[in-house]
Amino acid sequence: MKKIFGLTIKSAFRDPYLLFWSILLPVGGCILLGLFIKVPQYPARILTGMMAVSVLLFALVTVAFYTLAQRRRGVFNLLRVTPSPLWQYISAVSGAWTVVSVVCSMLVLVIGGLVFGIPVSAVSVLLLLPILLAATIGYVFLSFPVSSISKTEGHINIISNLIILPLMFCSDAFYSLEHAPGVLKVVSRFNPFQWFINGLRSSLDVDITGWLVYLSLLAALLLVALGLAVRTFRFSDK
Amino acid sequence: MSTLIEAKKLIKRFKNREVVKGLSMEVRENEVLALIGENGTGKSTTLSMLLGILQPDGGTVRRWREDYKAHVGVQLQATPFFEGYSAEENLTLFAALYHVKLTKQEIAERLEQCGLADAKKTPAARLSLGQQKRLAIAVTTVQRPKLIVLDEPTAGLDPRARHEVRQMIGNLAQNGVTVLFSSHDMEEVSRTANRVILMHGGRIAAEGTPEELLLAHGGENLEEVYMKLTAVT
Repeated sequence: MKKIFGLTIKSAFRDPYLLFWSILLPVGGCILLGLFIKVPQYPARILTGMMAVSVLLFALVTVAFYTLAQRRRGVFNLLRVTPSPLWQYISAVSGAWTVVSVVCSMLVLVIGGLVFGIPVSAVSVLLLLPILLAATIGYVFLSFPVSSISKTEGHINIISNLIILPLMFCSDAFYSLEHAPGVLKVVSRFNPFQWFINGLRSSLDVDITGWLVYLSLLAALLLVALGLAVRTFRFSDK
Repeated sequence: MSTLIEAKKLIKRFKNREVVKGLSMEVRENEVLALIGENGTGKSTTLSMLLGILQPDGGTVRRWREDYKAHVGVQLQATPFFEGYSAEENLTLFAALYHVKLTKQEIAERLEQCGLADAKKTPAARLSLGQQKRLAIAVTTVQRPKLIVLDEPTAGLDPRARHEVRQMIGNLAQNGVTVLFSSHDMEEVSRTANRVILMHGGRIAAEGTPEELLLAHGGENLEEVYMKLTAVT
C-alpha cells in the first residue's frame, strides 16, 4: 500500500484546486485580513481560522470530489475484483490525503507566522499535530457520506456548501463572536469546526486543559464520521 | 479443456425488475468467449456476477480457485482510471493492487506493447478513447492473469482503434490467456471469439462457435443469426 500512498500524495500536489483552495486562498485571506483589520490579536485569530479553513476545504470538499470521481469511473467496483481489500486502499488514500491536508495547513501557519511575526514554539507544533490529524481524518471520513449521497459534482457543491458555510460562519474563524447574538454563541459551542479552531488556538497558547478537551471532542467527531462513512459507503451508482 | 467459471441458473433483480433470468454458462480454459446481445440485455450484470462484484439473487457461481481474484484481469465498461494519474502511474498503481512490483523497465515494456510509450507521462484522462482502452487492457495484464474479462472493450472506438484492441485480444489469446468479453458488435465477435453466447432479455438465446451458430440457425453472418433469434413475433 506504500505505492498507493505515495502516488496519491504525488497526484494531490499536482492538483491546481488543492493549490488554490487549500494553500493560496487561506494564505491570501490570512494576510489580507490580518493586514487590513487593525485589532490586536486578530492576526493570530485569523491565522488559526485560515489553517482550519485550509483543512476543511481539502479534507471535506476536495476529497468528496475525488471519491465521487473514483466511484463514477468504476474504481471501487474494480477494487472488488483485485486481491487488495477495499479497506486497505481506502486507508492508504485517506492517509495520504490527511498528510497533504496537514502539510497545507502547516504551510499556512509558517507563511502567516512569518508575515505577522507570530512565534510558534516546538511544543506548540507538537500539540498542533494531533489536533490537525484528528480533525483532518474526521473531515476525510465525513467526505465519504457527502460523496455517497451525491450523484454529480453539482450535488457535492450544494451539499458541501450546506455543511461548510454554517460551520464557518457559526464559528469565530474570521470574526469575534463576543458581541454576536446569544443563539450564535450557543451554536458555536456545538460546532465541530469551532472545536477544531479552539484546538489549534489551545496548541499555540500551550493550554493543555483546553487542548485535551478539544482533542477529545475531535476524536469523538472522528469516530462518528467513521461510522457514517462505513454505513453509507457506495461501490457504484447502480 | 477445464472450466474456469461455471454459473448455474443465475438470477439478478434490480428494484423488482429481473435483469438476468436463470442463466447458466461456463468459461473454459484457453478460449475467447464472447457474450453478445443488445444494450440492457444483462451482459454487464452477468459479468459482474461471474466476477463476484454483484451477488446473484438466485443460482450459483463456481470458480476454479478460491483466490481467483489474483488471477483475473478485469476491464469494466467505464474505464476505471485513477484521476490525475499518468498512464505510467496508473499501471504502477494497478500492479500494486495486485501485489505485483513492476520495474521501470517492465512498465516501459508494457506501455510499448500497447503503443503508449510516448504517452507514459500523459494523464490517463487526457488520452484518446482508443489509447485509454489499450491502457485498460494493459492494466488487466499486470499480474499475468489466467483469465481476462473485458466489458465492451471496443465500444465507442473508431475502426483503427477497434482493430488495435482486437489485435491485443488476439495476442493475449495466443499467449494462453482465456478471454471473456461482452459486446454488441457482431463483426468484432466473429473476428475475435472462438465461442459465442448470444443473450436476449436476460437469457441465453443460443451458444456455440460462430460457425456452429451460422450452421444451426442459417444466415450470412452473426448479425443475421442474432436478428432471427431475437425477432419480435
